Amino acid sequence: MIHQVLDYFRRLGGAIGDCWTRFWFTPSDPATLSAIRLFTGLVVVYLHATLSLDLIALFGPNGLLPVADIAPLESGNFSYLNFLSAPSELWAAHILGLAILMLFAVGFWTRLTSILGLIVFLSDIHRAPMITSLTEPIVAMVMCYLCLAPCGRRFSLDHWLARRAERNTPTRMDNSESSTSATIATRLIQVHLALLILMMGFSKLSGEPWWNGMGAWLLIARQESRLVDFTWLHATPKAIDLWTHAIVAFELAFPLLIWFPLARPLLLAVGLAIWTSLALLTGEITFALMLAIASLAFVSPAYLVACLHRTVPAKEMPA
Amino acid sequence: MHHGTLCSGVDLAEHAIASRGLAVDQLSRPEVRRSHHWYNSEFSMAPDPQQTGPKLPWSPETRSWVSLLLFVHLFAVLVAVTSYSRPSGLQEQLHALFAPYLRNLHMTAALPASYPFARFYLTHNLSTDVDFSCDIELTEKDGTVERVSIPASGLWPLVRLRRYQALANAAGTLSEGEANEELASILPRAIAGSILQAKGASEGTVRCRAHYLPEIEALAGSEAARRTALENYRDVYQAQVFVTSSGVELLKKSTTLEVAPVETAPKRPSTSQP
Repeated sequence: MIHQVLDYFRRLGGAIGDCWTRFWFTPSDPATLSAIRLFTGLVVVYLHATLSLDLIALFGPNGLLPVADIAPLESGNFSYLNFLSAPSELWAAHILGLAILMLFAVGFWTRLTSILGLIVFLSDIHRAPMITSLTEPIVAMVMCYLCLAPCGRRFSLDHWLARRAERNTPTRMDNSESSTSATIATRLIQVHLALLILMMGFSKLSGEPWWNGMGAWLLIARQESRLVDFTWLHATPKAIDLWTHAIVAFELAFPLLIWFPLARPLLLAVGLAIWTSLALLTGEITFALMLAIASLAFVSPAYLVACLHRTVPAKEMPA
Repeated sequence: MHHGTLCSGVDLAEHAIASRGLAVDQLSRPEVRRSHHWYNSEFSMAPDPQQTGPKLPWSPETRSWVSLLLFVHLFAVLVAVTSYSRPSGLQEQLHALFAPYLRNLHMTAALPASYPFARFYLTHNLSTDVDFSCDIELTEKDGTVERVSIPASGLWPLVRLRRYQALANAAGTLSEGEANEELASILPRAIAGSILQAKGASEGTVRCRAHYLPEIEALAGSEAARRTALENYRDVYQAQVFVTSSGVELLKKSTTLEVAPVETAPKRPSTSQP
């Protein structure tokens, strides 16, 4: 009997180990990560560039958020902006940061610019977390994982330059382009995103508005935040109930069902609709956009490459 | 071949095969079917018995070390996301252990003070979870009274409005509870001090206003009831602000309309804002 139990646990351990190894270490094409890099890079450039309009007003020597005054509200996290106060210093660091983020977005020296870009972005956040929104945690998570993988191997300037240099040696989509670190980064984005969305769903279950159907109304009613005025829906409360329940149901279903390949396209499509509706309700466009971009991690690299082949003329396609 | 679906395995296999330079019609259907299985199991948890898979490039030792790091990282992330609302004592202790790592990567909401940053992911969204504005009234040197609001209206692009709204929400939320006078006064003092100095004024008033949410039933009532419901403002914080030679002083007006000194901050350099 004891032998049977021990044998069971030995086989169980072996099976879990095999699954773990296959899940994390099977090499994959970094096309998905490269697409995520491109879109995330554009969002980060947008966030950083728009900070230019208020850089001195917020962080300048006579700005709204002096480092010393707001220190008790922060956690002492590293930000190089904490050491800069003169407008010239701030502008120099800001423009340098913008250049790094643009290089990251277009995929130039991506291994280096992904790490530098993460430092730039985290410094922006840590300088004044009270002006951040729902977007930044998603962006930070994705950028952090992109640093681990060759996310500039496709859809990038690096790739274009490499092809140009090896014009006579056509690139092939085969296992030589696959990477274990790409799989690890993709899996980390998938698991982390699933955990975040699961937490969103679980937390909503602890709030009464999400049980009694008023959750969506409490977002609709926030006049300063919302993007579109949906208060006319007060005449059809059942529609508000449905909207509320749909958000909760999706957030509970996504982390569980997304691992089933057949359910994945449906969940991604419904997710796009849910994130768009949340953007309209809350005005958090970049948040919804980042959730959609992070969800790309569940799209097969083969599909993305197939999309590329469909749009690129045949003579430009790799052999 | 149509491309209308993400999960059409045979289509995708044909794409993948075509990208390897092989004509689809040269291949037998079983090969295509194997590719179909390969695609389906590519990002799934379940093992696929038909999948042989490429050779794993890393040594078992390397994989073991990386697995350990992955496990620790994911455990820290799990602790962070599950500690957001109502953490147990054990969760709090574990979170404190990982907090420096998580905070520096911006993967946790835990900060010394709870302000709207912690509303992230729209989880709570209670009827008390409202937007605020900060209004600063100041008398300029020529005697005219000016009012500056945060967030200002008409900010573009939208993300700028979001930032200033987040700042006003942080100031309002911190000052609303009156649990910690020191924390409550930090942002109103910083905001008002900056604006007064930029305008060259020495005295003003800072007011944080909450815009409470209308009841859904009220919007179905008369026009007057509807307007009242939509304009449901309440001051949650009000203080006199003075810019003196020693710094920015704040005299908070309490809810009972008494005036009590809060604290003085050192005067910042009087460099004008661009």
